[in-house]
Amino acid sequence: MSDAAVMSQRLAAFLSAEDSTFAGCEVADYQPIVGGISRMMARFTVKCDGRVEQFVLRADPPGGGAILETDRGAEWALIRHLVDTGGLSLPAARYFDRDGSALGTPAIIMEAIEGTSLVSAARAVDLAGQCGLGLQLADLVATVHQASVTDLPNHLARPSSWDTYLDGRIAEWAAVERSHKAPDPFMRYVGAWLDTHRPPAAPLTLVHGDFQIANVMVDGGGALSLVDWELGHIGDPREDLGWFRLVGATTPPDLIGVDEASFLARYRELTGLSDEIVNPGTVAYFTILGSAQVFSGILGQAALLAEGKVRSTAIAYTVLVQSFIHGVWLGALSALG
Amino acid sequence: MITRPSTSQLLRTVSHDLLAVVAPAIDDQAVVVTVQMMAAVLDAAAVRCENEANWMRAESAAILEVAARVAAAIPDTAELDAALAASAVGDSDAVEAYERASEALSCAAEVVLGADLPDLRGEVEQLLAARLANELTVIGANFEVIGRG
Repeated sequence: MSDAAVMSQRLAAFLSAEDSTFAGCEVADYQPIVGGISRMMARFTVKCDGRVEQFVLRADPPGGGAILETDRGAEWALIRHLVDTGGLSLPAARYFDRDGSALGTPAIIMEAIEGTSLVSAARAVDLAGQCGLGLQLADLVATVHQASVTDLPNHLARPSSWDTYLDGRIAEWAAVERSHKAPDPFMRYVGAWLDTHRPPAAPLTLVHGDFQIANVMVDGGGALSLVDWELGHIGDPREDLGWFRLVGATTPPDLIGVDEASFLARYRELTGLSDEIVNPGTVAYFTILGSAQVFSGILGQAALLAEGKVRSTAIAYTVLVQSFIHGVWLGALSALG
Repeated sequence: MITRPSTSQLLRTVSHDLLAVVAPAIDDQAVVVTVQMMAAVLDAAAVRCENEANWMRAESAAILEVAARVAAAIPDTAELDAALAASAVGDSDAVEAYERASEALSCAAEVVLGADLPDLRGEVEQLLAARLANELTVIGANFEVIGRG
């Protein structure tokens, strides 16, 4: 995946086989994208008979070792559904090497967005600019949460009720901690707190599952697009808001936190959800709850590292992230009383 | 065994050179991020090797003292009782002993939330806060995830 010459050859052969309009094409400028911690990403250019297209490759790390194990086929199906139904801004997924036989690992090839990441865009503007981006972000995530649940691909689990769903999510907490060899008292304490401080129910919706500043792209016209759909599922929409705030603490700026009141007002206006359901307290609840899945992946990989079954600097580094997240959890609980 | 320079000094020296010498010479930004992560892990390891033995001893003693009082104050704490019994066996391995004490803290934290014992709950929360303070010392102030954006 990191050998540009090898990957360029493989991509050219794969695209030629997948799409006759790319027969005999040349792949150039293969460049790994820095920043993803679960998938391998790279940008490249395809040239064919004077036509030039930019793509992004999104693939499982060869040989395993991903911090999160997710299904590229499920992600492909969800992205294709969302692109086909329209209404939501995301890069079109064009090709899929399902079994990795052509590219060395299961991989999705998407159209590249000409622009920059929201992280860079947000760091380049002042506070007023960040507040404006926050409102755009409210529009974007409200659109996700208004997608028709009944039409979503069948592989997405349909919880029977909000209570059942939340029961399952809280149970995940205990299961994650108990499956890890080293006890994590923060998880157990917070898990017990989550169970005794449940928020009012919300309608179940499509949830991106990794809604964070690094997964939003800004195109040349300033429009936002949402990428990385590997954790898409049907759940509580406040998970996305809470997760955004958690990641915002590690990767500032937190575009919700810069003016949370305005963000939430805009979000409520667009979704029709009440302020009893969507408010800083309920978002904070999901800041904590929503971190279970990713934290589970981090703990699982840390355990494999401890057992000598994997070697990865990125995984070693996530041990530091664990401590930071502990701080965010206790901070959120302290703020909630 | 060589003790000077200390282990932490050795780690910090390598970390410094990774950032000051190695990273600037690399063109591939993905590799630069990996080098930055290496330096962060080495810096954290330097803090840990300076402190963790003392931290684990101090935390374990404080945890077991509070957890025993939680167990005495709340009926039907089978998991906590078992964790305390396991800790009472004693262990020459500091990490194992710390993990057993951590399990007792986990159990105490769970049960104290459901009990109307605000003082004991406050003590458990202080244990968590102390543990967090040590963890945050390891990762350093102003921690930001490397390579995002």
